[in-house]
Formats: sequence, C-alpha cells, structure tokens
Amino acid sequence: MDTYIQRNSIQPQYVLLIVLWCGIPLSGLAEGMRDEVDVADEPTISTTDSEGIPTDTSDCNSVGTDTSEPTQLTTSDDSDTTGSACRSTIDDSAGLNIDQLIERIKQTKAIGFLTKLALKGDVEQIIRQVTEYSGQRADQELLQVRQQFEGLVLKAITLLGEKDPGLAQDIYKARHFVWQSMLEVKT
Amino acid sequence: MRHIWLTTAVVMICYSSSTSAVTPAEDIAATIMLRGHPCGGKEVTNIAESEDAAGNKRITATCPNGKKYRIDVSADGEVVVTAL
Repeated sequence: MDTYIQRNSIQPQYVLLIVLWCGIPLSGLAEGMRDEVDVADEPTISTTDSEGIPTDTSDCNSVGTDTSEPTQLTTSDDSDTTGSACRSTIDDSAGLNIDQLIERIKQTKAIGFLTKLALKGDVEQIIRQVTEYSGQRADQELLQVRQQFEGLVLKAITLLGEKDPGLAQDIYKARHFVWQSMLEVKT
Repeated sequence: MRHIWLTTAVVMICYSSSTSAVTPAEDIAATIMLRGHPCGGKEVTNIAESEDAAGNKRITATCPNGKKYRIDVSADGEVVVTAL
C-alpha cells in the first residue's frame, strides 16, 4: 500500500517546480491573507502619538475623503505634516513604489494598449482636476474628484483582476498613497 | 515517467495562461466598457481601422449586444468612445 501511494503521489519537488513555473506569488498570497486579518482586526478608534501624528493608517485614508463633513478637510499645511507621516507608513508597510507600479501597468499583458491609453487619459484628467482645485473652491469638488479616482481604481482592478491579480492587489493597496501624491502635485 | 508527463502538462497550461496577451477585440471591448458604455461581452466584432495623415486613428467595432461604437485615438493619445 505504501508503495502504491508513493508511486502515485506527486513528489514535493514537482509541486515546487509547478509553483515556480506558474509564477504563483506565494509571498503575495500570504501577505494578502495577512492584510485580510489586519483589516478585520483593525481598530475603529484612531490613535495618535505624542506629536499628534496618527499611528493608525485608517486616519491617513480619511485625509481629504471624509464625506460626512467635507468642511473639515485638512489645510495644505496640516496635510503636509500628516500626509507625509501617513505616506511613509503606507509606503513602508505595503512596500510599494509608484514608479514600479506605473512600470508594471505599462508592462502587464492583462490589458491591451488601447485600454492602457484610455486609463492614462483618465488619470491625466483626474490630475488636471486636482491641479485646478484650489482653496477658493468648495471642498465638495475635491471629494467628487476623489470619488472619480476611486471609481477609476475599481475599473482598473476589475480589468486586471482575472489576468494579473498581483498587480490589481498592489494598485488597491497603493490607492491612498497615489491620491496623496496627486494632492501634493496640486500644492 | 507519469510524473514527468503530469508536470509537463501542468507547466504548459500555466505557461499558456500566464503569457496569453489581450487580443485587439478584447482590448477594444475593455476600452468601450472603461468609458462607461455597455458592450455585453468581452470581445467586439467587425473591427475596422483607419488612420489619417496626422496620425489620428479611428476604429469602429460592434459589441456582442449589437451596439456599434467608434473609438477615436488622437495622435497625442487621447481616446474618445462614441456610440453610433
């Protein structure tokens, strides 16, 4: 019986070979699972350190996105301090780099050239709208642009989801960081 | 010997699925849907392309739901989708 099992079971080295050939990102899967656990365990009450900089990234995510009270948008000075602290936290925790992300979007075969061109046009339009945004305008306009941006991210994730899930996951993780970068372009 | 065949088959399947590029029909359908137009499927048919002297490209295609669209790609990369 043991001989039969040994003869008919797949050896570990073959499994490893298959995984390597298929390019299955085991570390990415593990990271994704860890993120799901983190999100589930994420405290809803934000914490701040002694300098008043939020230590919880959920506060970073809400910079410029609080739809309940648009009038409480942070000023440019505040967002510079808080934003940089949050940015570094997000960037370090996720290990993301925008340039690498852009390069990966350019290189991916999951979407075609025309789709990439259309996505690029949409991103440029959002950047233009953010750049046009100024303190004189209502904060509601920035929130609308933010919603457009989130919609575009969702579209991109949907397009990439089936064929390049790793890139889709990284775009989803980096979306707050990308938005912060767009706000910095404005100032 | 059995393991070798099994491994080869799995590797070939994985390799073909990971390297399959998007076809122009899928690319056009994705672009149409990206711009918020209904298409009813992942691939378009009846693709016709033309390009003028300035480098502006015009593509017409029919979606699986029967709707025809024109995609204008300007020389500087602007993409505009129009329902016909």
